[in-house]
Amino acid sequence: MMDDPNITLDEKSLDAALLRRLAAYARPYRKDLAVAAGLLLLITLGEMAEPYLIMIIIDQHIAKGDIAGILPYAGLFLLAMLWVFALQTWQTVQTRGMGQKIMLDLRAAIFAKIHAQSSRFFDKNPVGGLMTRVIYDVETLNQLFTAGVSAVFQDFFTLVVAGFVLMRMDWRLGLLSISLLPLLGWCTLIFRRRARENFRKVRENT
Amino acid sequence: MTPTSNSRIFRHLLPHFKAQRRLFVLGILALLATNLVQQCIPLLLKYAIDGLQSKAAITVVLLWAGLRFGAVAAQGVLRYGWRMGFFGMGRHVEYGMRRQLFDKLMSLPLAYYLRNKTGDLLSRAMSDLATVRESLGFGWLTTFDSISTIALTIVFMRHLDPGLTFWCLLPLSVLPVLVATLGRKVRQGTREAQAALDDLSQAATESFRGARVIQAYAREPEENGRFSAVSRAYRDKNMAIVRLEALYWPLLSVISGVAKLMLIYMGGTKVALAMRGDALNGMTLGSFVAMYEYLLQIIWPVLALGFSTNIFVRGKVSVERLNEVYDAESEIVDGPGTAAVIHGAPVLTLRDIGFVYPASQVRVLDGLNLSLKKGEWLGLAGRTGSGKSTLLRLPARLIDPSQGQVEIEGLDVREWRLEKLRAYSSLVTQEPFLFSESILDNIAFGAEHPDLEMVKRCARVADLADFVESLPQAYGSMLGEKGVNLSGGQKQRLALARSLYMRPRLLLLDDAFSAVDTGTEERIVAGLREALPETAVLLVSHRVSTLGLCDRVLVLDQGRITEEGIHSELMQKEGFYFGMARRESLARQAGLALE
Repeated sequence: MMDDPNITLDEKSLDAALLRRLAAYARPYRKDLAVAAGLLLLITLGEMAEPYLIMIIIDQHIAKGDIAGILPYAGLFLLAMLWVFALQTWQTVQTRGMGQKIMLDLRAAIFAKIHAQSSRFFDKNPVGGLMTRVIYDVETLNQLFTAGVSAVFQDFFTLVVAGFVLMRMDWRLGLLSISLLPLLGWCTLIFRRRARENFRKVRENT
Repeated sequence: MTPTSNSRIFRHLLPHFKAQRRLFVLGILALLATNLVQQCIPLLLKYAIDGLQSKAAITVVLLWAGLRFGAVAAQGVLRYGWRMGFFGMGRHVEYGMRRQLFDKLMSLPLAYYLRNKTGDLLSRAMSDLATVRESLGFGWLTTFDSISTIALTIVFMRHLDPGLTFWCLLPLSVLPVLVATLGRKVRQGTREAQAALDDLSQAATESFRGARVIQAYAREPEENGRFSAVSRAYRDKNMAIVRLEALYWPLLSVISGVAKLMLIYMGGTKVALAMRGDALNGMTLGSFVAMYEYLLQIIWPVLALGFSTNIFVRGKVSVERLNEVYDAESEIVDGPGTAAVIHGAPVLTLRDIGFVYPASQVRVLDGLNLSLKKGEWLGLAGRTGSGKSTLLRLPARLIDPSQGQVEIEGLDVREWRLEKLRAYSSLVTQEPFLFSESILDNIAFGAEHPDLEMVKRCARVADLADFVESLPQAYGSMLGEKGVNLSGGQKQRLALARSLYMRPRLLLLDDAFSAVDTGTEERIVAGLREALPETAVLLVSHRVSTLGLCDRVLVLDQGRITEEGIHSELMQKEGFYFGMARRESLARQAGLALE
């Protein structure tokens, strides 16, 4: 892979450049993205309600021997589950639908662009390479978009909401629980770098 | 599925699998140990909580908490063990099967490659083998993990509260069925989407290939519209999968949620009873929390049981696709190699040879006889499709004739061991295939320790030495995309050098000098005669200047010999050969006139 010019760039600036490029592609779909983010926030709230309800059931009813008080909260728990179910189904169709729409537009644009090129362009670029761009690279972009966007939003919301609830319940225990997060982040970073190196080796050998 | 048919399907896989049984056993043991530790964690939690509630000494509580921490650490180590065991086993089996596949592909005759597309064989060698690896590593892992975790968890849960265990697990029992059914539908959808993706890439490829024509006729708008339609069809197939998957995960989490709800309501009531002092019907808070943890950790294995059936189904399909290659009949099988050659017999004798292409039923050789002596050069002429190239594929048994007999040194080629037979002769084609390796490795093809002096000599005879030695890295220069680009004539001469390195007794040249100019060609032929004086040469050409360098020339037409003799004799006959010579000299004069 000696002739790959990207290799000389350091990884960080490459990632940043890639993200900026991706953000530019996403601009026309701001509205869809906002809807996706909103849905994910509502889903996270529903998911966070479940352990919170369990806390109420245990602390305020079970621990006090209050059997009659359990049922209404069990009902709320069921409602929270159904809420998450409905929103998650909606969100999946919405976000993946958006991804498909982006692919459709992107493919049409690249296809038209290629056909607008001069004959010299076709001398220089083999058909196989052009086809790969229009079909498979767009496919990868979509995966990055739908899976990546969902994961980033959801993880972010979960972190914020769960952190908030933890702190409100007991700030000392809360701080203790999140004290290991920087270490975890550091491990992830190391792993990511090693994994990337190995993936590249695998790709060079296939 | 009966056991016998399964053992038939997996017969090629089994030996590779057995070779890795140590890794497999390591994986199973590490996995079982992990799960056993896993089961102890909720119990440790229970003792810690119950200890806190009964105001036990803080050191006791800390001991339980410390043990729980130790258990998690031990799990980390054991997890590494089963990952190495199962996934390592999968990788090793994949490697062994890929080597076997490669060996098999190398042994298959030319006819097999005419019937099967390279792309299809490539997909078997890559993606089907990857699927087999996954279903071995991941499939077995999931199966063992699920079954052992489920069994152990149920034992521990029943130990805490048998009645509650039943009610909690009841909703979970539908999960494996749901996973397997929905999984099948998603797979069906994925297959359709894959076909639509193939259509899309086909449409793009064709369109780009015809880009110049499309531009010349200004058909871009229609082309864009056509592509968009195929693109939309692909989108629709994908959305069908999305709608299934959108239900899939949320539905699974609702069902496991119902199980949690059962535990919270029924278990919670019991704990509340205990709080009121009813120890007989009640349960401790510690048991309740432990039950909750057990429930959480049984959900995934139950789901995974459904996944593993899907994984195995996919793996089996791939194994069957691979079997088609492993079981492909090699029509050309090794001879016994016991009979001896006859001394003094001609190098090559063809007796009443007929050849009919099996697919098209076209007869290209029809009762052909010829013989070729040691050191003799025989030229073959004839129009396209007259059977020349087919004839050159007979001596090395790249194909076998439909009728008649091919003899090398008086011995039927079917009596020869293939390895010896194929080292005996060497075929150079018009458009040779070169590897993206160094020039040295291309000439000394397949040799473990290339002999540089020999390589240089071969290059000199092929009139390639001056060019190669002018390159900065000379014989170490790489060919292909990232290296030197050779012209058509240089490729032909390199292929000739490659076959000389083998020092063949019979050299078969199939229009092998078509891109080399006449002067160079004459030099090469002179050099060849000097370097390999005993080698017999069978040479196909469309140029009289080339054929004129042969001792004897045959003209083929519709698989029969129509003219035979030396150059001067054939020129007098005024047949096909004479026509060829006249066209060539006219063309040369025209060329001179243009200059």
